[in-house]
Amino acid sequence: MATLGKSQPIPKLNEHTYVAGRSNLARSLAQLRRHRMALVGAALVTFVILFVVVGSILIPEADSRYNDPSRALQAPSVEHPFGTDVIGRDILARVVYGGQVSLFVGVTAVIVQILVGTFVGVAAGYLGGAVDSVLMRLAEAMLSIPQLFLALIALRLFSDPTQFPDFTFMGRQYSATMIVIVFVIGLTSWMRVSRIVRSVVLSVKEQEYVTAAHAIGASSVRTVLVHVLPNCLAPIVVSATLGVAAAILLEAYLGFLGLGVRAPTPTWGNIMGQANSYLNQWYYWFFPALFIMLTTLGINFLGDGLRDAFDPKSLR
Amino acid sequence: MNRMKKALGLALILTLTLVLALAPAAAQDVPTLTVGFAQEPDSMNGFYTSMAFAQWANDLVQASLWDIADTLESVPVLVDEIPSVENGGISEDYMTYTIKLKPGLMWSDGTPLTSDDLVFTFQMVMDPANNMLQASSIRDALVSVEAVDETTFTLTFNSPKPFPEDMAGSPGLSTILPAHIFRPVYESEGSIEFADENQDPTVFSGPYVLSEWRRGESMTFEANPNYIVGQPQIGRVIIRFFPDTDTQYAALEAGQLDFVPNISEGDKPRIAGFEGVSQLTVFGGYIESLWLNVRTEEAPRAGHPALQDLRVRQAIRYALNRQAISDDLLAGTVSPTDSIYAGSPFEDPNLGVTPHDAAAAVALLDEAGWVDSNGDGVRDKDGVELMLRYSTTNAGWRNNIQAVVQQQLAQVGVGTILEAYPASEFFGAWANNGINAVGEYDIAQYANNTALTNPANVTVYEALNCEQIPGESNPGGQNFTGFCSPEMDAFAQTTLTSLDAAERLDAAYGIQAIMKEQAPLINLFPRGDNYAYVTARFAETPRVGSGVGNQWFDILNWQLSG
Amino acid sequence: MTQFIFRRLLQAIPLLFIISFVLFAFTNALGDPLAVFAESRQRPSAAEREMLVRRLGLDRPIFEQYLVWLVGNDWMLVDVRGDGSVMEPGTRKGVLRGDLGLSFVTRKPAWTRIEERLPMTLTLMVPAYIITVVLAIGIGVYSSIRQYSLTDNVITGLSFFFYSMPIFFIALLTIYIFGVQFPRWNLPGLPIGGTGNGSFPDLLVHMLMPVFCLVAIQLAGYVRFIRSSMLDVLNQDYIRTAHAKGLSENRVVQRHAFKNASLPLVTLIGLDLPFLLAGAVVTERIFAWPGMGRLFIESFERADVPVMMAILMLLCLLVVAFQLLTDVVYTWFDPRIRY
Repeated sequence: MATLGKSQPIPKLNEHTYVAGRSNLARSLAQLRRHRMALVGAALVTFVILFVVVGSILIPEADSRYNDPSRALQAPSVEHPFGTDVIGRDILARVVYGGQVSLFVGVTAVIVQILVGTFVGVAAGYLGGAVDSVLMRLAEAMLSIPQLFLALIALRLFSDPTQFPDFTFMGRQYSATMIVIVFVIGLTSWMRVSRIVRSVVLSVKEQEYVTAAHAIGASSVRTVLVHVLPNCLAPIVVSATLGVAAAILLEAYLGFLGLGVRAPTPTWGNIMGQANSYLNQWYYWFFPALFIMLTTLGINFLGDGLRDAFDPKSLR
Repeated sequence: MNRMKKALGLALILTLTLVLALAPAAAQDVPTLTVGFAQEPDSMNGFYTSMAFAQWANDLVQASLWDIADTLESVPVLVDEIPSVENGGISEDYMTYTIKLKPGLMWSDGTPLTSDDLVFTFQMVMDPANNMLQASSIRDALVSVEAVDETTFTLTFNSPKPFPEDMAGSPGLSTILPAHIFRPVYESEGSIEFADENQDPTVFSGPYVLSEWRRGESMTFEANPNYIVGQPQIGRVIIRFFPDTDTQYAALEAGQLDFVPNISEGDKPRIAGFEGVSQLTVFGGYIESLWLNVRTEEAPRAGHPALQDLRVRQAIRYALNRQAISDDLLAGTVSPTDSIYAGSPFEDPNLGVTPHDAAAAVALLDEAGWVDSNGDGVRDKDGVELMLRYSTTNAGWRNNIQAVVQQQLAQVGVGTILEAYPASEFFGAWANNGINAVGEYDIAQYANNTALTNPANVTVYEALNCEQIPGESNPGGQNFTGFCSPEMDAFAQTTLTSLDAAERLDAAYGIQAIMKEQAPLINLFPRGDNYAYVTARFAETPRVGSGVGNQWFDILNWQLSG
Repeated sequence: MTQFIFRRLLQAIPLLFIISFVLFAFTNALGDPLAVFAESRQRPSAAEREMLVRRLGLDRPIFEQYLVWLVGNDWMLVDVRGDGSVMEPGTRKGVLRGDLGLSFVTRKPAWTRIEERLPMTLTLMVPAYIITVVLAIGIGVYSSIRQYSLTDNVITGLSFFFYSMPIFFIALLTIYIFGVQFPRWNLPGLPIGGTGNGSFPDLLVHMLMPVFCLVAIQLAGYVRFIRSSMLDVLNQDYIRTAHAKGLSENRVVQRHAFKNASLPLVTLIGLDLPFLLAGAVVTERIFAWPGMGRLFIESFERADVPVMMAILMLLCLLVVAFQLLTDVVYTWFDPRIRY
């Protein structure tokens, strides 16, 4: 989906916004609770996180790598509740540890996206003038090429194992593509956030209290931190939750096209990319697919609920 | 609002029904063979492509002078007799070939196909302005080409050419250019590189003509009425392109494709599970191997020092359970080998194969001084860990084998770091920092093709040749392992130039003995050319040629059932 | 207005130059376009490779290559052998003179390759897009006036279900069910892959599965968008006034709410349209559809820089144009906005 340009309606700070912050938050939470889908979403996300965390306590990491081709493609059993994959690895272990990586990629990619987006948005909106037009042209330029195309090119350039070798962290070996993919996804998706932030900055800048803050000598940085960021929080949180789901899916697409996170690091996306070829062995694709779905579904419901909750206009 | 939605839903359902009802029930007037290709040919001129699929499409429409059969023997096509010293077609010194075409040959447009076309073709091969991707082996060897009469021409080489079959396997000679089409282009533009005929051919010499090419979609071939060698019983061949192999296999399983070439080894077990689909394998000449980097020069990267030690290389071979890889990952369709000539008539039958023997591997590694002194599970020596960079392309089945091999090596204390690259990086040139070319690996897994119609094996005389080791002074070198054995190079020279068949075979046996002893590369398994077809569509098992030659060499005799 | 358009165009020019250079540098670094032949049976020899590299100009510094791409090289001589023995005049005219270069793969103009694929991409993408938007309007409007009802929740849940699935998975499952299993159950099976035999009904049959998949994954996004812009409008004072005036629910929704809510939708569609040309990479690949997304991936895999650049620049140009157009259209719709 394309992003709205400058013509996107700037969130108006109408009378509702003047309600004191605390009760505003309380009301948002109340609204959130009323939104059953958001609750379902929160439950799903909690379940997935618990699955991944508890799973990794119960199952040693080595299980996700141990292969035994003589037990390849076995249907679920007591020994292997999710069955085994094409070279006889335990799918349950891979779904657990792949889930950690998928969630990590999703969340950190969004953090990168938010950080860059916010920084650019604040800089553009606050400084204005030449900085604004350069940054916004840059955003425009990056928006004019499909993200998948950009990500493919960037990944090919920066995933050379010679320059980015595997690394070991806390006794586990990871593919560097995992980190590269975080930055590739983050750096190709910040544009929307920067536009939202910029428009909020612009409207806050017009508000009297900011002018007043200037008048009493508050520094620009302080002004930004105190007045602008809190006002951006709602749209950013919404965009971020939805972004996590999008990042998990994008990683899966890149994996399907042969450029996702590489072995030895499993992700839901690359397990599915492999399992694709084995539609007859339902357990191979069903479990990673189920967890991708539960996660994105949960996060999307949550994000959707947050959107309704933070946007006072949708109160009826 | 509701009414609108209902109407909309109704309209949708109606359209679907209508569309399904209107779908034509595949009316087939002519017996039609539908073939699935994973890639679309990039050129229909054999001189301008290195793509196997392009070669296969070309082979339907362009006849060769002679073909190589599934048995690796030559069979005449446009000639009555394959030249030999015995029949006088080849001079005593093997420097001159006299080739006589069948009388009455025609191009598909009715123009006679004469020695003039062949003379023109070889002239094009010899002119560097044509910038051909293929045919360098002929260009470098050819001195002159002359027409004797309408159907006879002679080729003169600058050195003995003992293997006439070479001229069929390479697109360099299996393509014959229609002079009446290309000559005007050549005369006006000085090169045929950009001729329209390369991309949109109109004139053909083979059993079929390309009647329609829908880009990205399909190619349709119809029988060529002017092909006097014979008429195919299958009147039409449609080649459809499926970039995604899973979709291609689904189409095969659903019976929407009749014949699929180029099944990868890793996919054979899956296809074996399809009901009503058969598979066949012919000699392919590819041997999937682990190439060990024994380069010593640090420019830009030498291999792991342990690999210099013959005992370590042999230990790695002992540590591998190649039989298990074949049985469990490749449906038991291949058997391990230590011969680079595996499956060819030149394989040494007494060579034997190294068994899986972890104890022997451990003993050899201990003897070589590689022991796990710091207890981290990986052997080391003088502070250097036995950690090898093991790289291959990003093909899924290869990455699976990587994981399995990694674990087998770990059991004897050899650590590996798995790396996978896109083919364009993995096989890239020295100037592009290609992984193999610059030696950024310790173990590389890939297959080098050995078009084995004779004992001269490109893997030996090029990819393992002392003078082919790449470096600053030799960036084009093809010996990426850095292995050097002057004795083996001498044998390789014999296979290339000796005019005595027995002597060539002896040299090939000598090469196999050295390779087995020195282990510069470890053969995982020989890869055949694998085909899958819908059993019920064919009246009898089709005879498919080896990819070394022409897979359609017998297509005139293929018969569809019903 | 004219001044606004003029200013935007002026801003776009340096932007396009910068984008094109960055993309050119990136695409050129993708690998060795000739390396894909390494495992083939007939490898080009080292000498042939080298000559090809020189002719393609791949041995020159990147700035020079970019300049040649931009303005051509028909005014200079190319050293084909690398030793000055054979100097040939260049043949490229450059992008600025309408020459997008020759595909490394087919040696045909890059534009020809795009021309071959464009109609089929649009055949797939446009109907899928129209169906998506129409369905999304229906569902979005409905669920906005029945917010949090059971139907709203079910529709939202279902659209999110598809939205959460990787399309390659939906696509393969669809193929497996309708293409492979249906005939086994003696139901009419759908044809797998491709665009059919050229007849219109056959084309429609071949479109069923890919269009279904495209609609399935895109729908949720649009539904959410329409739903929230409808909710925005429905909470406005003038809607309350309309209700108070005693207008029927349908009339309020159709006459007042939807009309106003469609403004952001128009913007969205305007900005989406150029991307229809880019095709759908994964869908086209799985359904063997001869479209632009697949062309991009195929060119990407063979490092065919001219074709990739042609596709990317075409997209950039269109996006810039459509952004401008959207802004102009927007001012028509909404007289409050003036530039």
